[in-house]
Amino acid sequence: MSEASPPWLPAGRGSALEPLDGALELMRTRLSTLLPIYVLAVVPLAAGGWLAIDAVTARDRAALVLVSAVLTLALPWRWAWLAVLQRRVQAELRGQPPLPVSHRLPAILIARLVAAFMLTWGIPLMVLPFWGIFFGGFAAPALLERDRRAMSELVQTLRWIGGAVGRLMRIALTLSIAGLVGLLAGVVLQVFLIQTILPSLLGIDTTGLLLTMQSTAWWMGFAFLFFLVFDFYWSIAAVTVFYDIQSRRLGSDLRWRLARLREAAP
Amino acid sequence: MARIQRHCQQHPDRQAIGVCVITGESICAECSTRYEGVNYSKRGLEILKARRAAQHDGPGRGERVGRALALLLSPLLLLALFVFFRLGLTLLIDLSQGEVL
Repeated sequence: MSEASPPWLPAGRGSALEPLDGALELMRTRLSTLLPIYVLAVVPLAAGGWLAIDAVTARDRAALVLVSAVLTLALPWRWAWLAVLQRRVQAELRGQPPLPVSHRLPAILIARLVAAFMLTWGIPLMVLPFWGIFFGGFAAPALLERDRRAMSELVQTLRWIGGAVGRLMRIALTLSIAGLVGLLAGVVLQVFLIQTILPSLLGIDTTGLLLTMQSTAWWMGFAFLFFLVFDFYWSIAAVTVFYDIQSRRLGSDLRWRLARLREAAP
Repeated sequence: MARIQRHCQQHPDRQAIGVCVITGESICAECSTRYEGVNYSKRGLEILKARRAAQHDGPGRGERVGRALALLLSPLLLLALFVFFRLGLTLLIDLSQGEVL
């Protein structure tokens, strides 16, 4: 990435949330390109999720070994296709394609694996999941951006995360609040729809549906669907946030790129 | 003590101002290039460039250690994720024990 920013857009300024807006814009304008890749990425994970819901609701502890294995093995597949998705987003922002995914796939998978470990087992230490979510999201964009040694690139990415903690904390806080609000809105909407709209306006008997809504399976399914939507958004936003952090180090301007994208949008 | 006047290897009629740290040849002002505070002759610079290019071609020690660690740790990290899912799902089952459906 070596395009200079125009002089009327000084680098280093701009809200921490601008990359998140940019990601929403990309989702809206490039949905037909990005969504199929994401669906392909999460097919095995969705199968694992379905098996998990089935095992938990049936309280089948014997099946948990198989379910856990499916979920674990689904992750590398997901990471590989998310790298393809993120490469598409990078190409949109750069104006030209970055390195091919196959060139960096082993390093991307290992970085994602480390990040996943930080995100899961690091939960008792609040700091590690923070690093895990950003390191995992930035792994593919960082490694596909330049043809430098993978280890150097990843170490530099960790340094950039460390150097932008304040900015990334604002982003993390915003996403957390948005996620909670979205989740709550989804719950309220479902309850309102099933208890009020469907019976009152459409005359549909929702007694059975209300009973189903009280089950673990329903809420696990809802939570998983919400996770998929959020994950899709974050896969795109991670690239825009990565470029935002990079622009503060290298002087190029992400906002100019996003403005160019908006001009070209249908 | 008498000073020994050295002459440039390329220009014998000119006095040398220094010695290339790579080749050891005496160099005049025209032949000398100061890089990172050190004098080099033209040939010395080429040798330096080739040495640095050779360092960048192959992985460095840090890179090799990193790759070895990654290969060793990957199965362990995958196992850790497997255990995390197993424990998480077991916890979900325990939490749902009191439910009718």
